[in-house]
This record gives sequence, C-alpha cells and structure tokens, in this order.
Amino acid sequence: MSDDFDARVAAWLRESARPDPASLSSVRHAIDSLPARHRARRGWLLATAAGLAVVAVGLSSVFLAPRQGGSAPTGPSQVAPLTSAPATPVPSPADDGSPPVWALELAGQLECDGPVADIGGEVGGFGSFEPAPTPDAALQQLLDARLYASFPARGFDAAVVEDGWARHTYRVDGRIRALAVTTDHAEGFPAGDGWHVAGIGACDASEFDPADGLTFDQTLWLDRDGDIERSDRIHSSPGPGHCGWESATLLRFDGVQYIRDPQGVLADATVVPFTADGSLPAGAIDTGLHTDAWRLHTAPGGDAVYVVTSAGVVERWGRAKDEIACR
Amino acid sequence: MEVALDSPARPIRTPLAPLVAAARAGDRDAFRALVEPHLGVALGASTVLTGSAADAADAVQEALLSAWQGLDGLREPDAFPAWFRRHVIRAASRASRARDRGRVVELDASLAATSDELDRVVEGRTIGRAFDRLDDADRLLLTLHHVWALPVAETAELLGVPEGTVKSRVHYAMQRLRAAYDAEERR
Repeated sequence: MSDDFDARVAAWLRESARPDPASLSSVRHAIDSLPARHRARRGWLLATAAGLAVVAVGLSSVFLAPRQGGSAPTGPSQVAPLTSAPATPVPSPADDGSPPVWALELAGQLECDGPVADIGGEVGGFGSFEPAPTPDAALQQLLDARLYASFPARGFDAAVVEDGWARHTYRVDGRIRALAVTTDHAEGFPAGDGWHVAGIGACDASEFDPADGLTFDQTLWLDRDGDIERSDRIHSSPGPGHCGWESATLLRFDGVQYIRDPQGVLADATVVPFTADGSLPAGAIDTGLHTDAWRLHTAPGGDAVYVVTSAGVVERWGRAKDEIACR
Repeated sequence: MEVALDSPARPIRTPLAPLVAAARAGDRDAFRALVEPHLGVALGASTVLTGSAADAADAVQEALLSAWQGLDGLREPDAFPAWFRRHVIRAASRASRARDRGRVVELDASLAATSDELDRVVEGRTIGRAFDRLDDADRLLLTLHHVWALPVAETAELLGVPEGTVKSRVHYAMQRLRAAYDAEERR
C-alpha cells in the first residue's frame, strides 16, 4: 500500500458515493408523494361528514351511478407500478411515530394493469372520522361513508399491523389493486386514542372485482367484447343531488364531459341541448361501448354523443361547455 | 425563484428564508428547491453508510419526510442545509444499524479495461471490505469527512464532541481502516 493511503481512501469514498441515477430519480419522485403539510394537519383532525362530502365533491368525476355488470379485464399488464417501492414493504417507522416510507408510497405498491387512479389521497390527504378501536374498524368507517370514488367497497385483507401503522390490501388475481393505511399515531390525538384512515390508493375501478362494489356509485361501461372498459376512458355517474342535478347523468368519455339532461336542469351547460326523439346523424359511429341501458355512438362535429337506449330511442347528450362539478 | 448576487466576486446565492417560508406553507416546489442541491451527496453518503443503493434511497426518502414534517422546528432558515443533513444522517445511520454486516460497496471489475484500472478496482474492493470492518461511528465519521467534506466545526456539532476530538477520531479511524486494509490484503 502506498503512502497516499488517505488520498486513495478519499477517492474511493467519493467514487462509492456517486449517486445511482435510478435511486436519485426515485428520491426526487418521493418529493411529489410527500403529504400536504396543511392538509395533513387537517387530515388528522376529526372531520365532519359534511366536510368530507365537500372533499368528495371536489374530486372530479366522482358522482356515480349504480354499477353495472361486466367482468374484470383479463389482458396483460400495460403499465408498471409508478414507483420502485417494493410490493411488500418493510415497515420502518420513525421513533416519533411519523409515517414509515411505505405508508407514503401507496402508488408504488399497487400492481395495476394500467395507471394508478387519482382518487385523492396519500397519507394525510384527507380526514378521518371518530377514532376507531381497530385498524379494520377505521377502514370500515371510510368504506361505509361511501364518499370516495373508485375504491372497492369490500374485500380487503385483514390489516397487517406494525408499530402503530397498518396496511390494508385489496387484491384481484393475487395482485394489489387498492391499498389503505390506518394509524393510531394521528396528529392531534393522544397516543392510543384510536385508529384513523391515513391514506388510500387504488388502481382504476375497472380492475376491481365487480362483486365487491364501489364506495361511490359509478357506472362502468363495457367494450364491444363485453369486458369492462377502463373508467379513465369512460364512466358515467348521476348528477349530485345536493345541487339538484340528480336527474342528469354525467358522462366522461375520452376526457370530454357529456350530459344526459332529460329535465333540463343543466340546459345552459351544454353546447347543444338534450334530445330524445331523434335519429342517429349521418356519419355516426358505433363505439361498441355500452351498458345494460345504453350504447354509445359518436358523430362528426363532436358537439354531442348519441346514445341508443335499450328501448331503441336515440338520445343526444350534449358536450359540456365547461367541466360540470357541484361545489 | 428569487436569487441575489452577494457581490460580483461571489457566486449567486439563493436566499433560503423565502423558500423555507414557502415550504412551511406547503409549497413542494420550494421544498424541492431547498433539498435539490443536497440530494446527490445525501444519496451518495447514505449509500456509503448503508452499503446499499436501495437502503440509501429509503433513508433519503425518510429524511425528506422527516424534514418536510419538521420544517416548523427549523429556527434559522439559512441553516437548512446542515439541518437537512442531520435528517439524512439520522436516517442513514438508522438504516445502517438495521442492516446485516458484511455489505461492501463494490466497484465493477467487468468495467475495468486496462491492468491499471483493474488494479484500481481490486484496491477499491479491498478498501470497501476494510471500510466495512469499521464500526458505525468510524464509518459515519469518515463519510462526513470525505464525502460531505464537512468542516471540523460542523462535524463536531453533529457528533456532539469538541473539534479536537473530531480530528483525533479521524486520525484513529484512518489508522483502523489501514489496519483493516492490511488484514484484507493478507487474506
């Protein structure tokens, strides 16, 4: 060994400390997954049902209609999980009860066929109810509230609990399609006060078992072959009752909102009015997308879609001038 | 992002107080701006301490979370770099203790194209194994000294010891590393 041992050690340390690009990327990505600071604080506080309703209403595309039939897609994986987090994380809670990393990286633990759904919450992203005596009871409170879209209403595995944090998984075909995290370390509550839901994450609702239902009514559409189409391509839902729009149906198809409005409660909101006595226009194309009640057609111009009902009536659903949401 | 030029002879320095204030208000981009200059070295130092890129990434993510949640406890915004470093060191040290020993940060001999490079790779592996023989305290000290290149005063503050003690500990840590290196060479 040469006399410049110190220099060689220093060089080796610097070389060994070159950050791995993939790890650096995942670390940067983790910043996006940090809980909202102020929302997190509110999230740990008791939230009233009304308050949660406002949160739910604020989420786009969550006004949902009774789920209709169909089977879960069985095709190959399309998109890898969004982060490099392990599918079976090793809990490593900090000494002060703050969330372990795995509790913050729900999206990375999901094993979706497609992109992870944006349903509004990692840890701290939303509130909880009264403290529950167990993790499972805390989760059940959220499921029973039926406020959040695109989340399975039942079928979760028993909670895996470690150091005040619990992980609830929902699997289809052995793969994790939805996750919830509960904790008894909720900020603002004494230790041992009880369990609260701290975060949720899920795949697209089309990847759930239809038999389990959803926490918020939503109509998923079927494709030409009878398989459930992804809800981020098409879904429909009833207008929110608290705005008096329950007679309307809001359809989101390929990123555009259309409205079935037989009573005219949203007459000013569409490019062309709703009609139910017409015929399919020239150039109309059968998309093959359908429910038990409706079959969707597109038409040149894009101002409306045309829906043929099971009774054979052709309805025109106008395109929304602006995204409709009840605040 | 607002920047200020201290003087024509000095590098541009971003004032940290507005970023810290914004981050405290929940602005992730401000927090990102605060930590971004330090992520590379944080990850590298954590890699050396834990001996694992994956564990290092976990440790830095844990540090990011604890720093983000603990921003209200940062009294002096300009001290953010050192304050964040403490979060990283705590997380990486915890991860290092949790790991089984026997891990070595190795260089890839398959990348060595010449005999000189191969010698360097082999020597690096030997240093790595020797480094792994050190205890947690020595490895942390040498990482702070060589990877983070911290001033002795800051290392002393971090470790809670006098500056003179830092110097002597570095000296003895290097002696132990050399002894471990020699032992590895005789294997």
